Amino acid sequence: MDDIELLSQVKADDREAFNSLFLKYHPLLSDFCRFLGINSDDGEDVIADVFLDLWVKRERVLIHSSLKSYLYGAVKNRVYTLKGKNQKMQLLPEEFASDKAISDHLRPDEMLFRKDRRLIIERFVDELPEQGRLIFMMNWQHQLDYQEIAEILNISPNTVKTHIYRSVNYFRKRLLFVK
Amino acid sequence: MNTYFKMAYMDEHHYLLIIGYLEGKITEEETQYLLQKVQTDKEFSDAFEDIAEIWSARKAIPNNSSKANDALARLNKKIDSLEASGSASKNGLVETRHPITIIRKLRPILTVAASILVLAGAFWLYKAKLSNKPAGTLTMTEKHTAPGEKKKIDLPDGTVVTLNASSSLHIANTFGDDKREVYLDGEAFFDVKRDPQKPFIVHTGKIATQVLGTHFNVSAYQNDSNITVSLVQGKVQVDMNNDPSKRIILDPGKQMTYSKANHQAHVTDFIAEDITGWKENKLVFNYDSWPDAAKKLSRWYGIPVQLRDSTLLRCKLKGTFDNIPLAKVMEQIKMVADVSWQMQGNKMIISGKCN
Repeated sequence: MDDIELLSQVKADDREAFNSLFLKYHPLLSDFCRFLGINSDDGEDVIADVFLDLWVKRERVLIHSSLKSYLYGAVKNRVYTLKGKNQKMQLLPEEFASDKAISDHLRPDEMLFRKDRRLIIERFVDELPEQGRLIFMMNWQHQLDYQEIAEILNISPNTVKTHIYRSVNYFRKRLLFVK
Repeated sequence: MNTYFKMAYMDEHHYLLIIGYLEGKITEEETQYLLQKVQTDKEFSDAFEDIAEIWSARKAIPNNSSKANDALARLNKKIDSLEASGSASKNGLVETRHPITIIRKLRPILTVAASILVLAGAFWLYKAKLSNKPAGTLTMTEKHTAPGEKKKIDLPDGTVVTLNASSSLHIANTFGDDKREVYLDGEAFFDVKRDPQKPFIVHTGKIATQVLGTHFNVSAYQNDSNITVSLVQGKVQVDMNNDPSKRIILDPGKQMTYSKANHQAHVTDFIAEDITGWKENKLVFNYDSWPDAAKKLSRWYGIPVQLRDSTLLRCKLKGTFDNIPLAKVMEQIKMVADVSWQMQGNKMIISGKCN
């Protein structure tokens, strides 16, 4: 069942549909919170608040393009508010907890190779300027499309594309020295 | 002009097209355009490889379902207490402690799986329409090795082939046109230069091994009972009898053994040194049957080897010999196996029994 159907069921007071949405997006939004630099407890609170808000306002909530961008946008706004209010809460993100999803079907040497590659790319990601880094991660890691990212960050889709282009160009230049 | 500057000329549109392809988000028409571009435009195909590499490095987002379920249970408590109190105000979020049963139907949770590998694989299969034509009328260049001899062959595309003793490699004169095809009788180690546009195909009898760029070993002596393809790095595709339903894709560390007797293939693990030791002048017996071991000795030392006792046919031999003379090899084998050997002119005769 896709998001649109689930959302219309939520609007019709269907708690099961609501639960499905929560379970679908919880891992993604947790990861996003971690990336935005808040600790996991704060992240849990943010996600719960966003979903609580969605449930309370379910009848009048307006989703412009996709539910995904609505949820990411809401999480981002809350995290920014939280960080603005109390800089002390900006703790180091936890270590990435588990790689289970990919490790299941990869051999150890393959995993090692992939892990190396991933660490290298992640290091390059860290070298990007803040806005570029956020946009790249939203596209690359979280598979949000350009339109969705544009809405979440309130910038134009073309700006999003330019950032991705620049990031990829930067990685390719950096990769030249690793190869 | 170096690559650094060349890259700057790739435009945004092309990058986004490649990313769209990797994400499975472009139309059939755009896919056709991309495939055509990959095959004709070197810069584009370089960019494609880099971006595919970046995209394949993406990790899967950890999916901790027990954590999600706990969080959902807490959220449902909040909502229930909120609704029980009849207040929809967000300020009324007071933790209540009374137990509430939550009925949840767990639906399969969609995970964001890193499917880039699969996509890249599909891409390569799509592009590489395999043809398994026998040599036939093709003109060829031939390289071969005498017993006891090894040879390194540099192919025009930068691929390096190490040819083991008593082997021959035929290189099609059309090599490098749109495919890179070679025909092997014997054993060779291939270090294939990566070129996704031109699949590299090794034909060995009924087996065709196809790769884009990788390290692997093929052993296909005409008088051996098996053909083996052992993959050290990368991915290879092995086709049998030109039958796509029998296609095998090997991962690194896996080897396929095809029995010429029953036309069956099976895949097992292997230890690199056992398979590629010969390149470093190591004579390796890896649970070889005595008949196969005798053939190996014969090829390695360039003399005929004969087994006298039929009981030997059933034993297997395991061991590694570091480029030492035949007599020393045999003395060492004698120490562990119940065999004796003698030279009759140029010919070696081994007798004994299994132990």
